[in-house]
Amino acid sequence: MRGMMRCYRVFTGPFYRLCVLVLLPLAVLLFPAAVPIMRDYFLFAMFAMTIYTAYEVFMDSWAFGGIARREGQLEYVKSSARGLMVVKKSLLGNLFRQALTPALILLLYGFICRSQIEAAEYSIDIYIGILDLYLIGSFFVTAGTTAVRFMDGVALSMGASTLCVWLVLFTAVGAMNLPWLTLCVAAPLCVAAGFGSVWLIMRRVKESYYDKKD
Amino acid sequence: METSAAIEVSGLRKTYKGFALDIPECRIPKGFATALIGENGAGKTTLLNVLAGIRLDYKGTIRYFDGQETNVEQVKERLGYTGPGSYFLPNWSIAQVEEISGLLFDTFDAERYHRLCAELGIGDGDRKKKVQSLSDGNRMKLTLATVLARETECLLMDEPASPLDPLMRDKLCEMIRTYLEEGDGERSVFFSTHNISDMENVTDYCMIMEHGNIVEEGFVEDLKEKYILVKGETADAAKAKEILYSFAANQYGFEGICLTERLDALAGMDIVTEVPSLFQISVAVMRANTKLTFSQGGVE
Amino acid sequence: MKLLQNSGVPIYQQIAEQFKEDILKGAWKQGEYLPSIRGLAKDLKISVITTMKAYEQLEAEGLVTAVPGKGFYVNAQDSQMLKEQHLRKVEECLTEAIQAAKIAGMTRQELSDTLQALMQMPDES
Repeated sequence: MRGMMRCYRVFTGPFYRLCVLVLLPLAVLLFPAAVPIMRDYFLFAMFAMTIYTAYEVFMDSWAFGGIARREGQLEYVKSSARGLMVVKKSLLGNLFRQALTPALILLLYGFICRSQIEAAEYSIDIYIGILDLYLIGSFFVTAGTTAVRFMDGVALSMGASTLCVWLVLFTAVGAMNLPWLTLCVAAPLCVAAGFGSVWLIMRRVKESYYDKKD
Repeated sequence: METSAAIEVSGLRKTYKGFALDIPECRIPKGFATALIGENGAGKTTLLNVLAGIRLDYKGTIRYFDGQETNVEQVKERLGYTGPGSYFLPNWSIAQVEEISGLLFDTFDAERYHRLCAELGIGDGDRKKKVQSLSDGNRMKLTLATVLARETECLLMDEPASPLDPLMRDKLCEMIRTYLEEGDGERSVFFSTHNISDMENVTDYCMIMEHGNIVEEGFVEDLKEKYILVKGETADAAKAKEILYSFAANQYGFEGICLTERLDALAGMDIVTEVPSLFQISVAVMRANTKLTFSQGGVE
Repeated sequence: MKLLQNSGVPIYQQIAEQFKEDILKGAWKQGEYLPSIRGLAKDLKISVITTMKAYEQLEAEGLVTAVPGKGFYVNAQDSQMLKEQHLRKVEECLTEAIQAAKIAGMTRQELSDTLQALMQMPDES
């Protein structure tokens, strides 16, 4: 685990980490707390996951953007015997952080606004719905960041980020009436997407040791 | 000259889209600087990538360090590869490159990296500067700094001189010499270059490649004995053309590279001879083997 | 050391000549090691193979001895042996001159006159 975090830390710049680990999550958490209308936990979750998806996909172009491109940009990394392992560990480290960040945002918000939540007597379905939002957001973040890693340029990652936001919103609205079913589908999908993403990127990096087969 | 080999290649073959790298036998001598010279697309980069282990789809055997090791993963720690272009991720900063190097290589020495960055003037002391905002020259300097900050036994450098200014090329030569000196015969350098003249004073051994084959190789001093530069009068041009290895003429006379063993055939002509530079030898060999056609300086 | 890039005399020969001169002058003592080939290459800003070739020439002339892995040390400069060496060189050059004279169809007298005339010229070096 420590190796994973170290690889992740090294692979990403300090400014990126400051944004992704501190500034942006804090903004997502604190802004709604100041707005009375956002005191609805579910509404907050919707808001938080949308914004989180937007910035996470966009910001990834400053961390891993383009590493799966055919031309590759990893000659230095590949010239080390440990190169592939370092890439894999940092990808896994990032995945771990991506799972943790929104969960922490949602839990912290729940803690901050616990008086309102108790007063409103949320049903269990609402909590499952919030968990669904977490899963839906995470799924599209994984998909979006994976896509960004095949692309080059800020414009493309901006596009990917916008697309992911819409997908999160549509899916979330569509799943609103089926919280339990969504949970059963989204949970395994999320896990699969996470590991699938790392596997896919690593396969591309490994492929760059070889020429394209015609 | 008897030398042991830093890297020994046998039966190397790699085909890709109508291009074939085909090197039946080749030895990179240990303790020396070897230059790899050739046209664009001759296969220099491919060969260097294969040797550095960042390209794995080839047939043949490569033995490293006196034949001790054939698995490139086992020797990557002892090799230092530098390449142009996409060597680092563009959004890495100079400071980040340092951290990554520490993760990637056991012998990476951060102190030495700092010293090299300062010495080479990379990023003007701004350690937050990103790789993408560095000029080509500075990017190459940064790759050199990462590699030289490690304990290696063989440097594999793809076009190290190209993006550098004359002052830095001189510095590069000096760094190569220092590297060799500190290794006291145990360290070797293998680099490709188009800037033959600039690198001649640091080149011990030379390999000339044309469409995937090594067409000439040898110690520079031996090549300078094997080939000789001949200049003569217009009257002898037609006859000399038959004998010379490479030939060019104009209305004032002719000039060309001759195999020294064939110099006798020019007896009786009014000629002067000169030891050719490595550049002149390389161009002659490349011309003789190229697929491109040159106007051969026609004789009227 | 003064090295000329374009003098027509190969660099390694220039280096060898310099060392030879210094050794004969006694600037290098018997048993002393010459600078390492890679060190000298670095200092003179030339390639390793060039200094190596210079040292090999010195070795061939019997001025230094190579010790694998250690370098080249200066041999005892026996004045008798040196004189013989130079005598051999003189013979070699004269033989060459005689051959050239034969080709040119010079007589013995003409050849010896030429030698005399050359010896009367002021010493260039």
